[in-house]
Amino acid sequence: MTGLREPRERALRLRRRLLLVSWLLVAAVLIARAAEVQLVERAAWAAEALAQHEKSRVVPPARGRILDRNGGELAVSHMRAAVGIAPREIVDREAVVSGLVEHLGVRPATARRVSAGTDSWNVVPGRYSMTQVEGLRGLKGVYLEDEPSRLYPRDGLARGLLGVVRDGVGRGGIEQSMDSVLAGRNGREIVVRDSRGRVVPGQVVVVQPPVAGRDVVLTIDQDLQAIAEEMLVAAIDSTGARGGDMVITDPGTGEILALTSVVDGSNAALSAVNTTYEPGSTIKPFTTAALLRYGVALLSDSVDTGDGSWRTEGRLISDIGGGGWLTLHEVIRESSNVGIAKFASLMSSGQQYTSLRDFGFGTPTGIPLPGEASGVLRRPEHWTPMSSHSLSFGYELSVTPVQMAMAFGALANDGLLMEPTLIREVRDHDGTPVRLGRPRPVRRAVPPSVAEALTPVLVDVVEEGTGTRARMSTFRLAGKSGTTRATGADGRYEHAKGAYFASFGAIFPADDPQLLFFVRLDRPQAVYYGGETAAPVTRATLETLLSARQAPIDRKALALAARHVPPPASPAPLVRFAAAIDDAPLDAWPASPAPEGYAGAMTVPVLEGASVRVALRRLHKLGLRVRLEGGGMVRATLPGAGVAIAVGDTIRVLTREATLVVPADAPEAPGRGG
Amino acid sequence: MNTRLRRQVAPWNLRNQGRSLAWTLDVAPKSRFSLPATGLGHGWEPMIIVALIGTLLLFGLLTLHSASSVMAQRVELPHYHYVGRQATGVLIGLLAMFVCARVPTGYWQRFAPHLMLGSLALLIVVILPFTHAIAPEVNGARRWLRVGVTVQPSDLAKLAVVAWTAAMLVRKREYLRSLRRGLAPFLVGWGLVLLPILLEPDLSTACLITATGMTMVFAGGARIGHFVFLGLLLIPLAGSVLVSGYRGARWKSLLLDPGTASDGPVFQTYQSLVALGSGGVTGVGFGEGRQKFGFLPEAHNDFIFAMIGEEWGFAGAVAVILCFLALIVVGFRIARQARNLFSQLLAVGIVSLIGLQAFLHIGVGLGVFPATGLSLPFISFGRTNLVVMLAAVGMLLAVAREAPGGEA
Repeated sequence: MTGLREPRERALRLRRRLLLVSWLLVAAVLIARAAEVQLVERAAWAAEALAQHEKSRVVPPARGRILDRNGGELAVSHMRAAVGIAPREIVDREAVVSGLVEHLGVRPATARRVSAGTDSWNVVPGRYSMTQVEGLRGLKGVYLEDEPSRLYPRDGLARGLLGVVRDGVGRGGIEQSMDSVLAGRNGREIVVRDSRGRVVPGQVVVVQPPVAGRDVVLTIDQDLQAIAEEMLVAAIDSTGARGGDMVITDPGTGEILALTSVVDGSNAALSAVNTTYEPGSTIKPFTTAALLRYGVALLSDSVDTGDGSWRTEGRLISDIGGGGWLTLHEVIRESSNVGIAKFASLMSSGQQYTSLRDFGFGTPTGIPLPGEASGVLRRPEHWTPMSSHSLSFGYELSVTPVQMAMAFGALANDGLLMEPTLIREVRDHDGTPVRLGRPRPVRRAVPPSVAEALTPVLVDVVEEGTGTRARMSTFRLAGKSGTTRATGADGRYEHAKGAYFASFGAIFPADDPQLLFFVRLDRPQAVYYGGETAAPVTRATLETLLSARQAPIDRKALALAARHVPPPASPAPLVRFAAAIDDAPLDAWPASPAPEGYAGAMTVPVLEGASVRVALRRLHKLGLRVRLEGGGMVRATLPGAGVAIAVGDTIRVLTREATLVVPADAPEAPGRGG
Repeated sequence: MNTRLRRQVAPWNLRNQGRSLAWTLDVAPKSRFSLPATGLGHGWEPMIIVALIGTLLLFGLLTLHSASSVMAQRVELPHYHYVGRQATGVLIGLLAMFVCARVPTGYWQRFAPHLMLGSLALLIVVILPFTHAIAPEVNGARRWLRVGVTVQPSDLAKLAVVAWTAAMLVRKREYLRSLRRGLAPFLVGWGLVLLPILLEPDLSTACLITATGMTMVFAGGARIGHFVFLGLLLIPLAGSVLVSGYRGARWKSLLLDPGTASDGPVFQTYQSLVALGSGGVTGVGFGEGRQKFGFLPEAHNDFIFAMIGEEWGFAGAVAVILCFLALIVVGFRIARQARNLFSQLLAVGIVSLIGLQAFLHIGVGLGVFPATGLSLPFISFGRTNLVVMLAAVGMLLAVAREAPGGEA
């Protein structure tokens, strides 16, 4: 330890301390500065960051395809390019100008304008295909931005059904209703810009890659659709109609095979779904179904249609021709308004309403298309005395052609009303199905026996009634025509000549239904009867369809259904109404046991101990719906006897055999085997 | 305890300098407690250093992954590309640290001139006109030597300068008060290294080396007046460098409203502040940072602190600053306990090198200093710097190990 060392060491220690203190000071300054930026100015910087990150842009995904039932492409997406020019970055201006003119077909003046000057950014108008812009790649100052664009390979086919895509959003038709499925999910990329807002080339960061949309497979058959559109247009041309609709379905599944509408020469709007009209005589099979369902009348019951006109409730109901005694069968075949009106007056308003309601009238069918009209079927309490008559031949209610098609489908499908299916399958972009459209029954509109009984009647309509123009030599067709006064925009009847809607519903073939047609023509000129105008369209479509190589029909089953037996002779009226009716006035007919229309409350009848058949008949007559659980003798009803109910309510009928019913308030479950 | 090594001689005996490891300076009080022998030294200081380095390295790899995965995937590399490479650097660096911790500090003192000459040779190779094949130009500068592995010679030079300056300070300690005989040799030695670095060009490393050297000379006892004199000398020099070319633009733009400038360093600083500011108190969350998506330049390197501030917030930023401060404070304690002047100055130099680089990087991120290309030690991507810095930490541990009462 020398004397020299001590003071020197002390000096060095002092210097180290000085350094240490300055390090502490620097750290303090840095922490203070961090506090200023991150705590004090936090909000401002965060806002700045947000504004900056909003310069991120959306990367549109590839939109899913729309395919027909066999995988044919109805709508596809492909990329087109928008061309942007940064004049200040251009190296070879002449090359850019000539490139724009040659490859894109831009006018030389436009090409010069967008590539000259000191603007930082110009956009060449229009969108170009990938092959067009290929020649522009690599030119300095030219930027290509890919944009998805929608293409419909079968140009113009099913436009109203498919809809369009505008600004990346589906408008109308499947494009709109399935938009969320087709659209996919946007990706996001961040574009680095300098403070002038220019994109720094190459500085694009995909934050989130886009997810491609899913493919939607429709139940539509594009060949059938094309035939339907062609035939509809031909019919419109030949009849001078303003427009028309055609719906073709598979009645067994409710699948829609073709759906088209033409309004004023364009198929862009789908009036078959969106607009309603009064169905007229095409409703008569459903009125008949109601009569049969409630056991109010038999097909062989007959009625006096007089001279073809009937003045009742202060108005005149008239037929085209005919007259005299007609059975219910003949009333349909000849499409007698008087006859069906007189038959309908046997039903209570509740029965008539419930029956029509059960066929789906007055409620949307649930077809997956935007803007479906529900039509109007008023509840009995709003009816006037003439409503029952009007409804029986298709006035005072409005329907859409699709509703009519589904209701006819129920007659062809043993009385089971199906929900219209339009989406067969949704597939992921790699082809794996993610959702399958299955046939979905809505309800049993009428018992199978009723549907079965009606078929020969509808066959007769085509064979020798009002629909003979649809008759085919090879197959038996069941159908019903209708003609109604057209209503104008104000909802009033148009009195101009030819202001009629002509319609025709047909089941093909009658014995083993495979296809269901519903055709409506809007204001056909000259001859306007549905049987004269709409029925031939059905036949022409069917004939074209049968000669087509690939049609969605089961030809084996069809061969069995082909007529190899002569059509049965029209059944002679075997049974007349039980009462002697020759001289009895109409109002003297035995009143239906149903309560007076809808007036006042009614109560559940005592049914305990009765047979199920008796109970069902009684309940149906009251206009009630029944849920039957078991069979045999009625044990109880829910609600119980004496409880106030209204027409249309559902009654649960529990029988001795029923084991599954354990009402919450039941004393004990019926045990079985301990 | 090896008595041969601990024989008492005149503490500043220059004849022993560089040849003998056998003198000590008992300046440190004996530690009151000691941890089990780890081979890394005695007392709690080495343990703190190792713990701090371990924390920084681990945090560094996590942060680097967050910062670089986006960048890696942009050029279609796997997201772990940079982290994987950095991890090998960590392994090599830890190996270097343990080796350096075992090497007696006397060797560094003896071989400091050789280290210096070696670094100088590499630096000259990098800037030679005909060596483009192994020293390609990247972003307008030739800083890297690519011979199988990529090495940045200026990183090696940092450590060489620290060792050489410490050795020189011991040798010239009697003449330090003289400008010509004491200080001029340092200026010549530094100048030899700085010249090729400035030619790369890599001004920030040159500044860092100068600042580290000056700090060491100050700690070694040079006259305050000389610093004033040197400072006066540097003003015109610095001024001419600063106002010329794009560096001038940096300064000018910094003096003007930063918002009006569009690109270059001011844009970078601005983006750095956006990142830090939007982080707030606790940050936007690990991996959730948005600024790394092309906004923050060099998020994995020159601006990694800004990214830490964005994802971990004020808390994370302060934690990083305190980590480095703790490293500095413990380093100074080790210097105080060092057994001789060389070890002491070596410790101060190493601490200054790490501290200056860290705080300059952080200061750039916070907009206190103009944007330069300095990485954050132990955290930023770059294997040469990582290995060199860990080797430096190893030397610091060696100083601690050799301290009186140590196990050496």
